[in-house]
Amino acid sequence: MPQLSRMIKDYLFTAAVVVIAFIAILPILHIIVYVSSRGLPVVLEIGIVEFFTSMPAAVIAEKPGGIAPALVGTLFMTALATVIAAPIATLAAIFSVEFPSHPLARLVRVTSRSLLEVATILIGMLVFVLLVLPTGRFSALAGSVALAIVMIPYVYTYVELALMSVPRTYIEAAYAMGMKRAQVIILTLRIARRGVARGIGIAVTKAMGETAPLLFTAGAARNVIFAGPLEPIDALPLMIFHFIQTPFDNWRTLAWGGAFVLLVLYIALFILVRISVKEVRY
Amino acid sequence: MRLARTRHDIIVFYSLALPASLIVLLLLALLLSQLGLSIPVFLVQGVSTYTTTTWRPMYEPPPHGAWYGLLPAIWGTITSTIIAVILALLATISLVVFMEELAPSRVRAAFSTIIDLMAGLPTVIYGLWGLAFLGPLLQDYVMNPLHSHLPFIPLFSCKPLSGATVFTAGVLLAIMITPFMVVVVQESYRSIPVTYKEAAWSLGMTRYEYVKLNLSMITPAIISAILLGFGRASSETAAVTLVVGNAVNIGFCVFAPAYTISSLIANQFTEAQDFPYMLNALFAGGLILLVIGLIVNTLGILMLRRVRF
Repeated sequence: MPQLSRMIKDYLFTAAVVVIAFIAILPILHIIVYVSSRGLPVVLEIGIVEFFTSMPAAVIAEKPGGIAPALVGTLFMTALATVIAAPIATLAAIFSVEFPSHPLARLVRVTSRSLLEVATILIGMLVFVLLVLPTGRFSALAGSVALAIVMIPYVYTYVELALMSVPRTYIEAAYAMGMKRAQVIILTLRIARRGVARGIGIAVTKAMGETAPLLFTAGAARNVIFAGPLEPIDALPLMIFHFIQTPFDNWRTLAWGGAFVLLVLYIALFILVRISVKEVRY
Repeated sequence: MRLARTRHDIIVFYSLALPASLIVLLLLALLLSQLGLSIPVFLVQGVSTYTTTTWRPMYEPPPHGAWYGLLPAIWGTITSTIIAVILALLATISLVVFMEELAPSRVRAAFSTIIDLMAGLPTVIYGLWGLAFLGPLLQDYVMNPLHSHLPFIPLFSCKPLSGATVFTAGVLLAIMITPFMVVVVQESYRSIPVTYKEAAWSLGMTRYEYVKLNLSMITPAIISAILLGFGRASSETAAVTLVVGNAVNIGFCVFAPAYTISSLIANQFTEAQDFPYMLNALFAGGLILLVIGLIVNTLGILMLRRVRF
């Protein structure tokens, strides 16, 4: 038997670890309950149809209106960002798997890792300089490009992992059959498609909830439901961010309703990515 | 590696190399845009852009009219991030030890899912919760008691006037970066060879002694988690902007509102276009954020490589 003092230390340590571990996961559980309990009543009170199809009302209006511009904006920009980011990141990932010892491949791996950690507000500033200043306007396109830059390193990282996990023997067999390089690459992609889809899924989840890259790019247009790709647009995180900082009840109400919708979208995507792509085995 | 020889191979090579180089260009563009646009303010204010505390937007350009000193924002970023990393480290170690050594497999799986869920939650939702719930909670049950009982400690010397303070930002950031730090530490913890662990148990160690030994073997991973957590916390924008109070303020008391670099940019970017050099000053802030982030993350990744068994 260990000495008493050692045992006491051990008990105290174990107790502290358990208590702190539970405290550490408490916030996320509370966030889900809290945001739902403040957001769901908003959606129901305004009415589901009106909440999802109408625009935010004026601050002094009797009813707060809805979140249609923000919701449509989030869906559009996330979709366009995916269309931009997925091919670029996937091709880059193929490059670093196909030519692993090429200097560019090493460089891409390092830069992608850095891009993953870059403050996303800096991405917003970059797109502001590249797209908003020259065109003289905020636009859905600028917002989408900013989100695409956020997505690229995520897609790259997961696609590279997925491609590397394809057994070497399959690839050698394909070459032995006389396939050309491009054909082998397409085959590898098909074998790794679940991993590729998972990477894109994770990146979409990330992009959908981003606020900072949209602050100086999307333009927060709340009086119109999608005017076109070159016109200003709104997004759910952007609307929540702006509205909760105002003193107006109508807008703060919409922020809570919007947060509930964003939370539901996030959890839905999270579950989708998990169940559709479980373990990948060969 | 097969050399790119035939025409087919050359086409394949370039159609892949082009998107790959685009990623490198993106990082370069980020660096160049921050650097290029901050040069004008350096020409007028010099290095004192980073070392002075006055933030005075005016139509008359600096140095005689306006002045843009970033020190308060840099200080706010550093203090909130340090608070976050300390708290998150405590949570990270506890979570890893609990999941790896104490929890039954089902509880462990549940924890693992919950931590994943934490990692990806839109940051604006964290911010919303921090603003509406966490801030007031901390003000009533942590900050006010600490201030009234220990006002002689500089950190607690000012009375919290609202829930939006550096301290609140630090706590919220701690919650947000914990999942990322857990992943780093947990992976290394798992890589400790079973034989080492068995040897420790066979010596009759208590769990506390055993865990202490294990953690000492993965010290580089813990340092790496600290660095990567620091990088994450310092670059966070939306959540911090909602809870940090957004006031130009510098001091040791953490119960006061302040700016961080990212929240300063988020708040002032739009109006900055009306004042000469103000936008450039914000880019100078972005530049230091970018450089600190790149250094911290590179060090973190290098550290992680030193965990070898």
